[in-house]
Amino acid sequence: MAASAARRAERRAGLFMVSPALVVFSVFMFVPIGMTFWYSLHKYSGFGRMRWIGTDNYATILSDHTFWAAAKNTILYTAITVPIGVVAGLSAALLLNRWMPARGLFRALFYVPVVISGVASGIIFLRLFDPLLGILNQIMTSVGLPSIDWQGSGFWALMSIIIVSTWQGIGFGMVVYLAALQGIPREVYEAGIVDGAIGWKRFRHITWPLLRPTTFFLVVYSIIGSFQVFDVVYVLTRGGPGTSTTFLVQYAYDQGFNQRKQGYAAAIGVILYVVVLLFTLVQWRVTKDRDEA
Amino acid sequence: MSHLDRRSFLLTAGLTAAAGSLAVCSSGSNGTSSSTSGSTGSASSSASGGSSTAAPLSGTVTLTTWGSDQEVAAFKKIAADFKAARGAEVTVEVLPYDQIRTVIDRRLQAGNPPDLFRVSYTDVSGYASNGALADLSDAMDSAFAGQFFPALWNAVTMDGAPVGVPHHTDTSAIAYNKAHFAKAGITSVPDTLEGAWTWDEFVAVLEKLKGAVPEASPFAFNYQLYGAYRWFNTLFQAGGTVLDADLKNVTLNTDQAKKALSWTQSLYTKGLHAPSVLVKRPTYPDEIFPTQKISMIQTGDFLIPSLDAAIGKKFDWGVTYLPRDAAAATDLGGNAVVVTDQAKNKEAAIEFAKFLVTADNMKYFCEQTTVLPVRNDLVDAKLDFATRPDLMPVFQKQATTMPDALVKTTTMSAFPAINQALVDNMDQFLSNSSASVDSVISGLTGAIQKAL
Repeated sequence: MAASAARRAERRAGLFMVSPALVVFSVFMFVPIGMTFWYSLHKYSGFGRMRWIGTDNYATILSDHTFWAAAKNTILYTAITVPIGVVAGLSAALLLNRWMPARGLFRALFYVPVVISGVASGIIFLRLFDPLLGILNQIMTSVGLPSIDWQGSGFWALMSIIIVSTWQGIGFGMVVYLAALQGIPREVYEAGIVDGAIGWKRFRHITWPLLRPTTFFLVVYSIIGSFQVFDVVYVLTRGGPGTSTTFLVQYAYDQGFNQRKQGYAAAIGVILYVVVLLFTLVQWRVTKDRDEA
Repeated sequence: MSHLDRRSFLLTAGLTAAAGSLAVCSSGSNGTSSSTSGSTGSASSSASGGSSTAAPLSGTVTLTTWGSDQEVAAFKKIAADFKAARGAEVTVEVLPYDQIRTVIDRRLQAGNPPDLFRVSYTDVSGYASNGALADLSDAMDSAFAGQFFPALWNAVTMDGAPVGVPHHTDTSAIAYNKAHFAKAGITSVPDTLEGAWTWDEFVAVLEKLKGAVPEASPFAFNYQLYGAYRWFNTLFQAGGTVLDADLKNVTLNTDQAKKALSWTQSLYTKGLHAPSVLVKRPTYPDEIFPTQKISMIQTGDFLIPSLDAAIGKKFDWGVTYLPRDAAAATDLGGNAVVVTDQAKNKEAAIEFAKFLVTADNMKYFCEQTTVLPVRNDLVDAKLDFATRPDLMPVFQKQATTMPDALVKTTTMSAFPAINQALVDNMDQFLSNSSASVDSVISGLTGAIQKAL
């Protein structure tokens, strides 16, 4: 009886302690998510009258060529940026995990782009990539290389976004990998040396396998982040030229805020939510299985 | 397509007053005639309630706008005059042009909009049809409405009820770098509307520039984002139209429209147009022109002050007329000021809107910001433009070539969706040299027809 009362008291105390977070989450996450589902079933400009249209928005998406172009671009962007980001982050971490002069400074330099807002980064790179005024093309032409039409060519516009996103993301991958590398017991490496695992063999047979959970986390986290890319695209290209750099979130924004189709934008958001949720569930399931093993 | 002499333009589009005003003012003369000043002052007192004898007002109203330094200064000066005359304070809130629509929308959504805001004629109906704007019928009778060009008054009405006031209009012409022209050996620039370059002559000029000034792109259009509809200038120059006379059906599947599209695309494929200046581009040709990386741009008169400030003494520049093909044509630009339905101080907001468009205040605003008035009683007024008055006669004469059909299309309620159709389809078309004219016509026709 006493034990049961103690459990109840503990439960109440726990609930009391999480309640601030619960309130914040409800107001800023659960309610907006619910409203997004609700909006997606309506025709709504953002102000004025809201009209119930059932699943019409979802039916429209099926035949919306721009949506599918945006989905294709998002997948392509993810397929390119995630591996590059993971490999670059790991490389930076391996480099900066060993002693070197000004190591702290280099770590900070790699991490600075992570804390700079996407909009600010976008504006900086907008000036760098500008085909007529940008310093990149001026450097290229000064050394005899042809200038690149970073914003008029679909391919190069996409490349410019990938370059900026990679620049932004390396620091995060580096920090996560650094933490993981420093968590590998020294004894494991010492035992490896006894068995002849040095250099590349040491990385391949000791470091890499022990980093696998971290890599899995980073891959899933980066995929989710890639599906949500927006700020850099908005500042750099606005989705153009044509639909070359139109991504799902940017397309939803355009529909909701420029074309005043908030119901349709919400439907795109719901689809994106389901996709991201699937990746999150995979990560949650794998992490749970590993923790229980 | 009717090509408008001054009188027929007035009669058909209701904009003749603008055209007349522009033609008459083409001397760019200093000073204001006393008769005009006197008569307009009288009109403003009686019709607008803008005189100091009107009932005093209290409190504060917020006007949200974008604007150049000159525009903001003009708004603030008129706001100060309003406070002195009527007692109510006007806070002028300035937002970046690219963001104002989104910010206003969100404030409306949150139930906290400004009392008044500045909006392009092409966007008024989007707000009015969603019930965001106040019905000003009680404050603005037919006598008040009769002071403005009919087409632009209609642009600020919804089902016959006024929701704001027409504030000014503007239009496009060509700005060019005189040093680049000299380098290319181009010694003759059209100085009359009738002598404007034909498309072929225009292309020949661009080719000369391309050869002589390789470090700069010869030309760039001002078709970007909310201004995508300015491509209709080219369409109408070719003799094409967007919609039929009833404004019910798209008329883009014509030889004229195909010619206009092919010609526009050819400027890109021949390297005569800045390749990265497309329809979705977030920076504008007028931002690049002062750097001398583009020799010639299509631009609006409202940009003269900012161009003048950015160029300074770096190089000499002038303006000339848009090229012509089957006809000359330019776009209807300009803005209105509207009162929101949720305005906290609606009475003062309405009175300030009316004060803003008294003859004296409209004239002052136009002179300071190099835009054109929209009041009938300013048709014969001589405007003393504060910046580069020598350039304004070209814009004033060019404004007489606004096709009636284009004015009607630009001010219809479906126009925002029509403009969006242009943004989506033209950006795709112009960025891809292998894109076919037929495919863009099909895309535009489908999207515009859906919007009607």
